[in-house]
Amino acid sequence: MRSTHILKAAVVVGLTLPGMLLAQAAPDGARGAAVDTILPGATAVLRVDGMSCPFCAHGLEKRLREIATIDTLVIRVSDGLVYVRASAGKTVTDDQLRAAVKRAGFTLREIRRPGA
Amino acid sequence: MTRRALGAVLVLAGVPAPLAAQGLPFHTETALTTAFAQRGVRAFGTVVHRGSVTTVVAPLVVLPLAPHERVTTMVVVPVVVRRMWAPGAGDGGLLSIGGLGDLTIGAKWAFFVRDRPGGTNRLAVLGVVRLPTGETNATFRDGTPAPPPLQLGAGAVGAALTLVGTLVRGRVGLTADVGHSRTASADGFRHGATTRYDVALGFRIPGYIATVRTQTVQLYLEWNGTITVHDRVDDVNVTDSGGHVGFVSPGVQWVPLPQLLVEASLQVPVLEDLHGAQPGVGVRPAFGARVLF
Repeated sequence: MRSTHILKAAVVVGLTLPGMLLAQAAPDGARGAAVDTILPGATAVLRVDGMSCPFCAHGLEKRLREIATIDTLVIRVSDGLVYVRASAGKTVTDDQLRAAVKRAGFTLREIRRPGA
Repeated sequence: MTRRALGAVLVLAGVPAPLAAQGLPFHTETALTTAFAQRGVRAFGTVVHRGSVTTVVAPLVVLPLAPHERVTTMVVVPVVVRRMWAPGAGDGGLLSIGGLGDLTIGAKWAFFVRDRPGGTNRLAVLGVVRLPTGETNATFRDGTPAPPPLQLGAGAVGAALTLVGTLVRGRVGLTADVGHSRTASADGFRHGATTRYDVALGFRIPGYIATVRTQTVQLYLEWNGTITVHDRVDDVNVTDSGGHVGFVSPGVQWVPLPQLLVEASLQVPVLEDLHGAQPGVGVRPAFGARVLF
């Protein structure tokens, strides 16, 4: 009976692990790209820790979109970077950004202001 | 129904309660609250064969609100369909019931959070209360009352407390939980207290996620264990109840949209240390979806 159980476990592991080992990372085309390449005219770049999957990062996108003065945003999940562009003639304050990241459950490390 | 047939039915004590994991692995809880720092719904179905009993459990997990970024709340509404033949009882031994099981409400609090680029370390505690909303007066076709373990509800209030730890490093995630649940007695019957423990290793494809709209696939390999003490009738242990069951559970999840997750899992029993004479535990397929809104 015990050997049957071990055999079942071996079959399951044998079917699962090869898929894991064969899977390769997607091309890394975005890492290190210039701000203007990712979001021209970005008014803020946030470094956010804790983002590990799109399903989780979706919450951050929703919180940031609640800021009415944000025109466009791009979240680079694996880089932990969020690019924000304010609407023409509008501003997005650091406090607004901090509050949105906190409400989404992530940790904000830095806010950079390109061109400032 | 004959007493012998009813006795055979009682042997089936311990048909498992629905799993209602709130987290990202299929069956293991998670300390992540970030995915649900918003409203969401999770629905999944599990088919459980045990002896002559087939049970389909389809819990709807509603995450109605997140009052704090480290706290999520949940309501679990389980739909249960159960069908069995009592051995040797003829047509009168058919039990076929379906409906809502016991409603569960709970909350999870991530009390330790250390985020890092592309990953996190978190510890959380999850507390749930199970309310006796499920039917408890189902009968076999011949009118014989079905024993408590075969009813849709426990007939009494239950509670569970679970400690969860999650560690994510890039594409690899490790989650473990241990929890204990108890149910009050009802009409002289008390379900055995259960200690549950799970470990889940996850692997994400692709390794690099460019944007929130990047489609991903997660592969999981879980160990899910439950240790249940004897049920009790009038303060006497039911000999043929309880024990230690362990499953190896490979699973796969697909995130086609940032607010949608589709998942499937297969629980394969590899450890069955059951008390007394009980039917074996079968393979359990499960599938479901989660939606954030």
